[in-house]
Amino acid sequence: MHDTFLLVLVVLIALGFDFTNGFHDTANAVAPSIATRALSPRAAVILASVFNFIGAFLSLKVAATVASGIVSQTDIILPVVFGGLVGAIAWNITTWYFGIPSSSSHALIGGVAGAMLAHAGTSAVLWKGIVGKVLVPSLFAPIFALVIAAIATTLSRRLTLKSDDETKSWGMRAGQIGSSTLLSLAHGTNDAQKTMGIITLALVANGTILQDAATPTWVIVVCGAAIALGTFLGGWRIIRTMGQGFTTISPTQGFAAQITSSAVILSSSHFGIPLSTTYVATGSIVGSGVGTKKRQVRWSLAGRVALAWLITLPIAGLCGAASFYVERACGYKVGVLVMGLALMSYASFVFLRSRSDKIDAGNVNDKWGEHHEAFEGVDATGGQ
Amino acid sequence: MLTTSTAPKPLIDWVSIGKVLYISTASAVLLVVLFTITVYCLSTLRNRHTTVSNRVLLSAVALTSSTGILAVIISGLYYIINK
Repeated sequence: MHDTFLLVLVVLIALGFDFTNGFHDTANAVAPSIATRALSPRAAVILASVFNFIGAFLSLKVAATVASGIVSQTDIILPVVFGGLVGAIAWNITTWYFGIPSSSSHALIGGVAGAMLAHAGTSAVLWKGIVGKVLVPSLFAPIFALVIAAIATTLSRRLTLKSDDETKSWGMRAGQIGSSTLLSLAHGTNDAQKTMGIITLALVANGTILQDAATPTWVIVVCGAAIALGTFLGGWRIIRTMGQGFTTISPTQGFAAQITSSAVILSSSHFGIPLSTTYVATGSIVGSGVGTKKRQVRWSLAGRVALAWLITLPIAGLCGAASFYVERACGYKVGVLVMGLALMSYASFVFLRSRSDKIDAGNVNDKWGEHHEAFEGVDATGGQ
Repeated sequence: MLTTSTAPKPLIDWVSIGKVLYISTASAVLLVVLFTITVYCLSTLRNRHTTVSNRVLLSAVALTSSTGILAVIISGLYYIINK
């Protein structure tokens, strides 16, 4: 099936997804650095966007997993990819509005799998790949990150008991600049590849490249640029949740959390496991709270976020399937235009609504307010 | 006649997951501990009452741990890019 018009639309919406991925996941790399004021909000997102771009060029193993391990390449058609991306973007926009750090990767995989189910039934979805490469690692990733960050924070805290607070705080903040850079690099390495995988899948579906062909260089460049641009604009609502919501982050905690996230993401990228960087970053931040003396974590917030994680894959899948049904009912060419317009309208609506409760670089570090829950057994403002 | 058979891939790649756990725990804890040691040394060096011999020792430890941090990061990135 060769259709340049559809292919161009799919590539554009894939880059749109990559943009929302960067926008949504900026928090993963920069929230602790902004919360501890190691970096100003603007400097943090600029640093993150540059290193996300560089990271996109480091490895292609995750791209290969996404391109060939989720749905059957022989059954894939462009409207399926388009439908999946619509589902993923819709979920990303919704969770961004509510400040929920959910997984862009799971939204993408759920969306594409849902659209594929609607198109070709259960046999076209590689369940083994979804369970083995997506669901199981996503179950372990936040737990690994939580435990490692808790150990690292505890060790760091105990080793510096006799240090003077000023030098410790200065040193850890300086370390956070380095760890934030490393984490941005890791994020670019892991997440930009997912869109590369999707565009590669679209090129295969269109017959532009052969199955199992390498990801073209132009795909790597545009994906790196799109995720960097999204990161640069900063998803302040989620940065606020991750930086202020789960725990009150000290420089020691922030450093331990960011190093842990970098280590888990980079090692999983190396083994071609498309981990959710959001789950890892969230697990690390919560773990750094567990590693403090008072173990201050807002578990109720963590529980609500975990609930959102559970429904990400099925909801994105439903949206992807619904989008595909609309495309098929309208005829594919008209259908993708209709769904594209519907998605743009929804995005505009959500964006306008978000202006009434604006969160930006100016107020992202405000204390988690009294209308939010306190730490269990501690006052609302927390403290170290 | 000799026949060869390949075992089917397991549903869950426990080996890779185990390696991710092992490598990430080792590298994260090592980096955080080394950096904390560096910060501790710098903190103590700033203390006016630290003796000269201790200053030399602390400087050496700080230098060693900083070198260790760089070695872990560079070797890790090299391994990821090249293997």
